[in-house]
Amino acid sequence: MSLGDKLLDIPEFYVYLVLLVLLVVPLIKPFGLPIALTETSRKYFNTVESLEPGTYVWVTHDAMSMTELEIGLSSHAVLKHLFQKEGIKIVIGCIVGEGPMFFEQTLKDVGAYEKYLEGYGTKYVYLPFVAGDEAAAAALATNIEKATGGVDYYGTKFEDLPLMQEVNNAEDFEIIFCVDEPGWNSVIWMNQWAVPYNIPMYCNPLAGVSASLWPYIEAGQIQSMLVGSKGAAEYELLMKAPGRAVAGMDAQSLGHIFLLLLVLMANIVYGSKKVSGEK
Amino acid sequence: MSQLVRRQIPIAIMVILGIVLFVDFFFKVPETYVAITDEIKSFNIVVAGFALGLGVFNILEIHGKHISKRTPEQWYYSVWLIIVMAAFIITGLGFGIQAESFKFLYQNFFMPLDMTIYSLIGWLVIYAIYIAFRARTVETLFMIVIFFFALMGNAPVGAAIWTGFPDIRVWMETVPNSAATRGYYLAQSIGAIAMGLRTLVGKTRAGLE
Amino acid sequence: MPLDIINEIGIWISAFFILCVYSWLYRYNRFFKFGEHTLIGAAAGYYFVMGVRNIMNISIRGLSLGKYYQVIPLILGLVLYARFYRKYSWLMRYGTCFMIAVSSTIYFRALIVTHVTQQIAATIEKVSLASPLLALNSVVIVGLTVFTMMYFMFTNRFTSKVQGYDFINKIGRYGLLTALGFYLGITVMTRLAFVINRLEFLLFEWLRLPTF
Repeated sequence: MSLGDKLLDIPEFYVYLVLLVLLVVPLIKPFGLPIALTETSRKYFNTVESLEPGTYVWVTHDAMSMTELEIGLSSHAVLKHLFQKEGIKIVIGCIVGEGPMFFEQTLKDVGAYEKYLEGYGTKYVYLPFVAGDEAAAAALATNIEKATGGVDYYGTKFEDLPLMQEVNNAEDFEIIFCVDEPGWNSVIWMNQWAVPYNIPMYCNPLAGVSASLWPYIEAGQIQSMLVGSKGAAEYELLMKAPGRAVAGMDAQSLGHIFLLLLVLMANIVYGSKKVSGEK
Repeated sequence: MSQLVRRQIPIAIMVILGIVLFVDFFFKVPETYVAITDEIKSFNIVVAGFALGLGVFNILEIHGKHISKRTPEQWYYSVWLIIVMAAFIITGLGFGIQAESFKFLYQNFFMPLDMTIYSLIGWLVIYAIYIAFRARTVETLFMIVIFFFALMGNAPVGAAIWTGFPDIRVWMETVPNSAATRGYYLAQSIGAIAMGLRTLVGKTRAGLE
Repeated sequence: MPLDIINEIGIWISAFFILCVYSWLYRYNRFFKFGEHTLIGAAAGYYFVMGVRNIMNISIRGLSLGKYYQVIPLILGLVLYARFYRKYSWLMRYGTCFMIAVSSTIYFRALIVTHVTQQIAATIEKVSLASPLLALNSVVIVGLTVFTMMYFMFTNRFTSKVQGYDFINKIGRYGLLTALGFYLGITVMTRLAFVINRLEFLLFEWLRLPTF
């Protein structure tokens, strides 16, 4: 086997080993590589920053184990920011079964849990998981009480929650933040809430899914988004509170460079073999 | 009678419900009509709740057979699977989903496994891209060039290597990628609307298998 | 048992399962199979509990408040389980037809507005001849949108009879390759984030390594 053949067919074990080293080293000893801020992240941040007291905010927290791996970073940052704002009223909904298991822990991690408990019922309400995906989102849009059975996540009746006397459908909300979405769920909320009721919507999709959300941003159906873990790092920098997202960016950079070098090397060797007439 | 009850009535239910919900979205309707459609949507939530439970019975059927037949190299895994399933159901229904026991099971049994299985994709994708992305044709070469600019534009260090990478990425995502994705969505949506119209006129076999 | 010890046990259980799954990278083995079966059981049990909560919140609570029509979704949901009895499995059609009617109508009625009319409007609104770059962008946007859509929609039986359609197919194909290549380049970040998250857990929560 020639060197060229070996370079075109490196065993998986060695690729995984090099990738492991390249990811672990910057996690233990960060290099502090620069992170450029994008327009989409700035727009998202500025919108949250400029929320006026008394604004009714619909937040969706459709966390799944899979998405929490990446979007957990941006959902932590955005929820921290939202709960820092005084006077806004937040109702949190969920159409993914695992969402409730992540929400309270997220608030505890960002230090907003005490404030959430203090203002619960008057400023914040957390609704139970509603099954049915798009049909569930549509049901919540027209009548939250019927869609949830008139109780919140903790089993408290809406009659005992002052905030739920003020809102009952999508028309009562002024802005939507889909802070923890697999990406395709952003489209569900856009289809059933943002577009029919003309409500500005911001979302946090997976980086991979964000590529397919651009037509909606260009059409003005989604105002802006935080793209994956890089968006989360940018948001942390804008909040002047760098955290886990920023810490992971060096590892991301090395991982990207490693993949690029592998692909370039494979194509150079492949191309030279083709030119020289070898099979 | 048999065909009426087994086929025609379910199809009629599908057609009537479809038309009722379709009209509700596009036309101004009386409040009673809206109340009825709200109830239909809440009914769907309950039925979806029942559908979520189907997995348990499916598993009991399949793994119950493995246990009863003592399938070699499998039956003890099936026993463990049913034990874990029962633990979740008993703690969840018995103590509630806010109980520490249920949260412990979720955070230390479900969550790490689910997350790690998805993270396997990360390892595999790196190797798969290395093996698959060879410029065998002009089209593959084109795709590799686009991939290169997207990767470098998105990498946190890309801007530090060359300031042009983020600008090229922004142009790519707002112009060609957005246009091509939109074209794909238009075609896909017209197909989905055609399928939906088939539901409205009762010409679909979905739900009857 | 003190909370610290419970947390510590939880971390070790999580780390064990992570290593069981990662052992697959070497080869499929008993540890991976053990983890796989644990996940299937956990997922089935978890979603069963969440489904029951939905039913309790809406239907059972509704019945307790005198809304007797809430028995309808209970019946429609229960008939889904008729699939396990061959003689009565046809009853399942009532439940599935109900779900399909509601879900598919809610989905496709929104598509007409969000994915067709508004997207066509957005394509036309992007046309601008204010500068050479904007004019080029307009040509690319309109051309790629239309040609990619045509590439998907029209089959060979139609396109082979139309002279010059090869050009449209080619542009459509390159449009698709652009979207796919871009998606692949961007999605690497997501996949690496998945891996980095697990490594962070193993290094900093399980092994408690310091950062420098």
